Amino acid sequence: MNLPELFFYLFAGVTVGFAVVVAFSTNLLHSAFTLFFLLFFMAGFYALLGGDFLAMVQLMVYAGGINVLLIFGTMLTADVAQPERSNLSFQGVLTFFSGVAFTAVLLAVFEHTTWPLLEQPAEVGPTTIDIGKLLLKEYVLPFEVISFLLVAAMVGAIMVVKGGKEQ
Amino acid sequence: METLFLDLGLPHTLSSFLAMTVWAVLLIHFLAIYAGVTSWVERRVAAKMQSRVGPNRVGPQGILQWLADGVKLILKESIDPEGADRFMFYLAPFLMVCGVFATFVVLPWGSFIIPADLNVGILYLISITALVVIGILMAGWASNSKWALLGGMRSAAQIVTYEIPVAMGLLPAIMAAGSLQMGHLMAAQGWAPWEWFAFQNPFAALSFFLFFIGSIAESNRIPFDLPEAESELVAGYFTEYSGFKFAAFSLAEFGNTWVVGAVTAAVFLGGGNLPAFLGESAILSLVVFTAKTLFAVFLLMWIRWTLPRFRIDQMMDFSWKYMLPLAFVAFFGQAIYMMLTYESAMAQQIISHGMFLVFLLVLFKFTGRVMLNVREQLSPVNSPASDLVAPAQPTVETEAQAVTE
Repeated sequence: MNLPELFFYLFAGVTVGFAVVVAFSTNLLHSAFTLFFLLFFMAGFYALLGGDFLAMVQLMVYAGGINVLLIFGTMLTADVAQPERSNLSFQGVLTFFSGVAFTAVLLAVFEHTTWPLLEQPAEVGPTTIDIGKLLLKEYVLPFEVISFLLVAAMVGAIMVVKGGKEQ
Repeated sequence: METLFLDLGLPHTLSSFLAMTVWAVLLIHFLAIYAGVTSWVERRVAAKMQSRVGPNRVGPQGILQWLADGVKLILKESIDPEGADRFMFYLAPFLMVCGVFATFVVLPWGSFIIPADLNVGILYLISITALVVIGILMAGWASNSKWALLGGMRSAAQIVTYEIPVAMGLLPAIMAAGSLQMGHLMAAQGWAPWEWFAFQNPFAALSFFLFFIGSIAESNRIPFDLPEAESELVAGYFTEYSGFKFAAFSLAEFGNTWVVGAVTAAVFLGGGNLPAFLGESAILSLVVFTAKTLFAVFLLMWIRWTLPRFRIDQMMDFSWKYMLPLAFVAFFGQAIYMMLTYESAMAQQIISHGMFLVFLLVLFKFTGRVMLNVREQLSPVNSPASDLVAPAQPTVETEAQAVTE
């Protein structure tokens, strides 16, 4: 067993373990903190696949940004440690049906897609230069459109906050 | 180091694993000893700046004070506050140490020694701070104390806020080097000050200041130490901690000074580059790099003990209303500068040398001012021999004037 393989199984085991904790913890804040470690270890998968830049973006955006916001939000929630308001309070019947339906769709997709397999692992090298070139040459229009959308969302958020204050 | 183990005839997997382990052991011991010694140095420097003596009893000049402190903290009772979330309460300090220690993976030790020269090194350095944020939030919440919770929230908000100017402040250097790799960033600079990114052009200098200020805020030091403001929050997120867990927080805090210093030295102050006539000596490069790092650490201490603390709203305003727009100015300015001087090495030379001359001018002016202050302080205030008694004469004159009137 070589080193990447060893680390893959390590990451996979740890991530699944954290996912179980996130899903079944009776304390919302424990779930939120565990989600951080889950997202953190997800970056390990990207690094193993050769996506060095993607791994760092995962760390920065999901673990460092979104999850910290999520924890802030959870801290502002009352009674985080109440079991009846946490993961255990789900609608049994509805959850069963939606879960079964979702899994069925996923399975169907897995079955009917032909997954292209590489004969051998692709040459893994630094990806940052290629990503930069693609973003600023081939995909410059989508890139600009998305950044414009984000600016619009930011302006919108500021407007919502300001409007709330005036009322 | 990996080749060393390979030469011994060990298999590839084992040798790379052993190399990682050796690096980790070396670095964590360096971090622990550095943080300890710095805690003593910082107190001595602070004492000097405030005309006090500072710790000077344990060992010559008190140099062993940090060992005594460490032993004291380990022997102290470890108190769990009532209603604390025990597991998270115990985990938080070590997460913070992990967050600081993890940055050492990409920190260089001179031009030739880097534990792991990642292709995305500087990005890794910025994003691994997330561990520190989580550690602080966890400590704040798990303590079951209002001070700790508020301190933790503030601190996390502060780090998230100042992460943006810090990252934006690093961008001009990344643009000039054309790489995110620590080794490339250092190699793109030269040994002489006018070849450093800090003096490359006015915009790079601006980004250097933004980066340094933002780094101070990220390491929660005065003037940005609101999370631990004694007058408002007791000790912030580590109010409830005692014993070894408290020592772990101090370890992270003082270890962070090295991280800030090393990144400053590597990205803006020319790293461990040596002039050509000195050859390629790894030891000499390490010495140069360490000297620059320690100078940046001294700057951190200097700022900490000379400035008062911000108010919370001023702190937020400062980041969002001043530092962020300035960071954008530096970013666009650097882009325009690179476009204009792309083909003319002459213009680049003139601008960087000019920047360095301006810096020297400021330095001389500053030194003159400091010398003046030192001279005035040297003359004892109450002795008749000093020329500071002079103010007595004008009063005589005014009395004489009053009499004549």
